[in-house]
Amino acid sequence: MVTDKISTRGLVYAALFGALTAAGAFIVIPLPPVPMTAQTFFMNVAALLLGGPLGAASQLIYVMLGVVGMPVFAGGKAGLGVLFGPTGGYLLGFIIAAFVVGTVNKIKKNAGTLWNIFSMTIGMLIIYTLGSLQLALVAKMSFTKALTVGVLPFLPGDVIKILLAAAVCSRLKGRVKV
Amino acid sequence: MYHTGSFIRGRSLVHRLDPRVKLSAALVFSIFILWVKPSLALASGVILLFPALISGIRPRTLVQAIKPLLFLIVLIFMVHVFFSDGSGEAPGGQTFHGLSFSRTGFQEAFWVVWRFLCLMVAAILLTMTTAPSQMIAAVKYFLKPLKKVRVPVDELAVMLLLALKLMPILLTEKERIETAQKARGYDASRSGWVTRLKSFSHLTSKILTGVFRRADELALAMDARNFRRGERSSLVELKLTSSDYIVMGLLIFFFIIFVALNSHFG
Repeated sequence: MVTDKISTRGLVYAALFGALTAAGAFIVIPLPPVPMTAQTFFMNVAALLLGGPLGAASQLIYVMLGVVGMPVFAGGKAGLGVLFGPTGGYLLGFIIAAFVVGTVNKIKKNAGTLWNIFSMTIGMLIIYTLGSLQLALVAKMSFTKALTVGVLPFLPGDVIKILLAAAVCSRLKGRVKV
Repeated sequence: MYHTGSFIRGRSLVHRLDPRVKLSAALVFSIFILWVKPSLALASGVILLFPALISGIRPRTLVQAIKPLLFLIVLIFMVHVFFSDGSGEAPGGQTFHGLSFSRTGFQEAFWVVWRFLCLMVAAILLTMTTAPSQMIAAVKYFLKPLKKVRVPVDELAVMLLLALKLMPILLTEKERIETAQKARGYDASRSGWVTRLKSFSHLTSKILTGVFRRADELALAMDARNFRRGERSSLVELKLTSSDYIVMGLLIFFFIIFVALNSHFG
């Protein structure tokens, strides 16, 4: 996050991906049996295309859009309360995961699709861990229970979203220079 | 559809309060409600009714804003009723198929849901009575100390404003492309889900290439107008008025009383 000089382009792109992640709340990925929103998808694309610091900035923007009152959190929620509510950990996870995914991805020059998928998987694990921790804490359940409620139902969808993000990123590779 | 829980214009006292006061009140409340004992959580919820009443927001609007959360609320309730850890299990507790019902489970579930509802109502009230631009000014104010550790707070505020303006543009762009696809005979419901996923990835790639071009143009336009980093002026000037001080005083008064009561009951 601590960057001395962000280029204007980087600034605009981070804002753009924040808005995209937010708009992702209204973009439904057609998946059986439950269609799901495109948010983690855009988070991953942001991290891969923008890199760690700007990716994290974009997710911070997304969370702040929600705090400021846009109904962009899962289920059309908004506001500060969500951050402290049962699902707030996932949102914090978005920011940290974006940073880690972007940074891990940059370790390897000319990262291929496999490396992309690997770094996104690490990000997913971070989101799950933080999300379940807060869910367990706020809803006063045990950690394993929180995992069953908060991770298991979303696992298949998230795997597919990672694959989609990898596909889209390989198509857009080299398009974004920040 | 895009407007549940967002700002509703109004001239009530709650609307006119300084966003910084409202934001910090909501923040303190949201930590407070999770921490106090059940009886005080009930009382805090009742106190929450006052700002709800004078804000001039119709109860129906509030209920509508909570509706999307109903599923989560029911889920949390169920988890607590069925998977209560059973510590201090009453003799009347029954089990079947490995699931346990108990009165403690029900009570626990009720209080968790009550606290959760209070959290949501407070957050919804805050966002419904505060315009996004006001809120950004407040967020920027509270983040100011972070400048010392070189977090680019001003840049973040600019990005937030940009994102706020970009969101509706993105959604219209998406609708435009979807309509174009439909006009060319694409029918999502008739294709298998692999095809659907493929067309989703096509659609997003198209949206992204389109908006990337816009972003490049925007960045160029900003640079051309000599966009510079650091402190900037804003249309929203925050100023505390006498009603802000009165409300702050009241809040602190209630806070101290509740903290005292909470430790007294303990």
